[in-house]
Amino acid sequence: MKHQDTADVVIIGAGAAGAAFAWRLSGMGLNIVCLEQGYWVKSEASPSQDENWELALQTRFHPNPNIRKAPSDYPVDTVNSDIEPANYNAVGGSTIRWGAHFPRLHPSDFKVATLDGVGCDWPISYSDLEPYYDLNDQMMGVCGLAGDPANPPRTPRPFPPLPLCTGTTRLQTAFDQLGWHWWPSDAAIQTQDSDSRQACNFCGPCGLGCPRKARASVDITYWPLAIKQGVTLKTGCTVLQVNTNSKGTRAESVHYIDASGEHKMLVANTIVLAASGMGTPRLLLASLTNKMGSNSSDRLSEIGRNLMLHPTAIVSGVFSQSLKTYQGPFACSLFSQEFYETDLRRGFVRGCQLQALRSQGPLGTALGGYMSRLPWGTDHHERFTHGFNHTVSITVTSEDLPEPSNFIDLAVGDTDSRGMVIPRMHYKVGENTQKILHFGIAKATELLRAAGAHNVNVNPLSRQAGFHFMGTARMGNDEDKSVVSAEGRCHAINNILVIDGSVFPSAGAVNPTSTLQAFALRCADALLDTLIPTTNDRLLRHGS
Amino acid sequence: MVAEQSVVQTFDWLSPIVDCLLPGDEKHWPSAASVDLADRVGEFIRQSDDGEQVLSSVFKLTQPAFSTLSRALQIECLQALESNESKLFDRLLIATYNMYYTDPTVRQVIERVTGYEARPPQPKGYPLEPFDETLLNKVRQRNPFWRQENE
Repeated sequence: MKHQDTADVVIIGAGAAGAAFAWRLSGMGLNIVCLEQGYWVKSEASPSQDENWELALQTRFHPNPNIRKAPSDYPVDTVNSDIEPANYNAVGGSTIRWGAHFPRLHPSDFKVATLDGVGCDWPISYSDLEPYYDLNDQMMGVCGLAGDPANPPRTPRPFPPLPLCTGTTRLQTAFDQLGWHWWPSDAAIQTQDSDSRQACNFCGPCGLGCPRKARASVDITYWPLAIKQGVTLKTGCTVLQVNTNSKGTRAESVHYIDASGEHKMLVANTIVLAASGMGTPRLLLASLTNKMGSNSSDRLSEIGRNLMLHPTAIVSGVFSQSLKTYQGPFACSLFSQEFYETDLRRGFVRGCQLQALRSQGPLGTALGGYMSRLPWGTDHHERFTHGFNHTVSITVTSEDLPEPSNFIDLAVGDTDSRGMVIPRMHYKVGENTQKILHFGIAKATELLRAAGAHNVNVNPLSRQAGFHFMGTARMGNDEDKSVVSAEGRCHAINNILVIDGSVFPSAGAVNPTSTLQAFALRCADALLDTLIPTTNDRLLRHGS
Repeated sequence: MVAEQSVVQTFDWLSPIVDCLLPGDEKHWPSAASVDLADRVGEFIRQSDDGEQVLSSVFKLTQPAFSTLSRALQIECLQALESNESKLFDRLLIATYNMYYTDPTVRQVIERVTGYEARPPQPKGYPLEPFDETLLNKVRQRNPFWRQENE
């Protein structure tokens, strides 16, 4: 291999976690290199400005990499999975394609074993992450409102909340009528202008990227600042292997293919994995399985296991009136955490979140939107006329538990376009999770009826909703039952860090991005404590 | 071989099929054929990895008789395809919906019928009104009910 370079820290993956980590570590004189297999996606060129914008959602912006098949994507074997993966591979990772809903875990989510006797406790608590949640909210430009009685108090939100629309106001009225909790969503969407970003103009399809940069993605938040402070970001680089010393006790370098197809080696003191709960175990398994001594292998046996998703049901109400639910961020308006915490009278532990979903455009409606595909033939147009702009939906986001049957492994012998073995997803909805979904569907149906829906349509399990991969390299103090420490350090190989959703010991019932970014920021501080121990040293290094 | 190539290069044979899938009505909606959808549907399918195979399969299962059948028999033919070759039918139907609902003429009809403007979401968007905090009057009366770590 001709090309060999060096770095203090190499970060694999330029998504939500990698970006936050890189920024926090930057400006201290460290040589930091991030390798990203995808490329920059210009938000200014978002297809939301094109006549064929809905077609983009079905093709190059489709959430499923097996359908999207972009050059930077890798296939995922889902033969043994109830749920399909949803992600995006680019600078910004899945924040390029997301809805920007930005809730936090609850304090109880960190102690599920202690409180409910299931899963694993986190080795850290909500209060450990709280200052990083706050910092991250500022960096991402979060809108919302403090004072939610379902959550611990939080600092004033950087921007005021998004408004409700006709459809979501109906839901709000029904929540009040039933006496159930609701609150306006925290969203990584600016509702006022700032220096580099314009306020949201309520256009709707946030998943296509935002030409106004109102909806955050880390390519426009963290990365410009990290690069300005000296981080090197290399795109089109697929990491094939993390190389260790002969004893398998220390990582020494990464082997990758660059954008031109050249094989290269990057020697680094610290190797940080931020390739998602799917990509990170894939790389660890491809690199370390069968290459370690027996002791180390035992300590790596949890890699890929404990896969948790957020199985999602979607319950849609059809109304007689026009709801204008095509207006406004599709995923961010209001949510309810009335049924979030454990209540054993319900017959299960943990709970779910009910989140309002606005509707889709004309094509999305015809293809099914959050309901069923419209029939072809003579009835089609009438069904469209009475359905489009007349629906609002509730997603039932379920807490998931680690189950022995759910894991990521490698489809040995099956490789992607760059010769890297592809991952396999093994996932079946567990019994407790199924009970939560049934309960949530009943509650969402009750809500929509109270809101005045004349018809309620239930999708009991959204097959395309595999957007949150968690648990596959979980953190913990018990080295036999976890992969990394509370600071993200791999127990078996001390200079490998994992900082993405892989580390979650429990899933909660909310979107994980704000939490995994807060964790990444905390890990960066912990690493700085070891690399540059004193504040004085940091001040001296800053700007060097 | 010549016939096989023509299946994926000219799509006249698709026209009565897409017309049966989306026949239009007398009041508002144009039929798929009247907005010349067949070529776009064929081209959309052809561009995918296995597109030529998909088109050849649809061709073999519907031709040469489809255009000569009565509308009732055309519907039966497509219902059989939907039942027996569901993945193949899905590809055809999704492509047809994709092209129909992104057609400018159809978008104008949608605007007339539903009020949904025939324009992309950006740059115009929609008005961003302030959030009405009075809506929270009831829920604000609740005491905090999140669970403590040591509860």
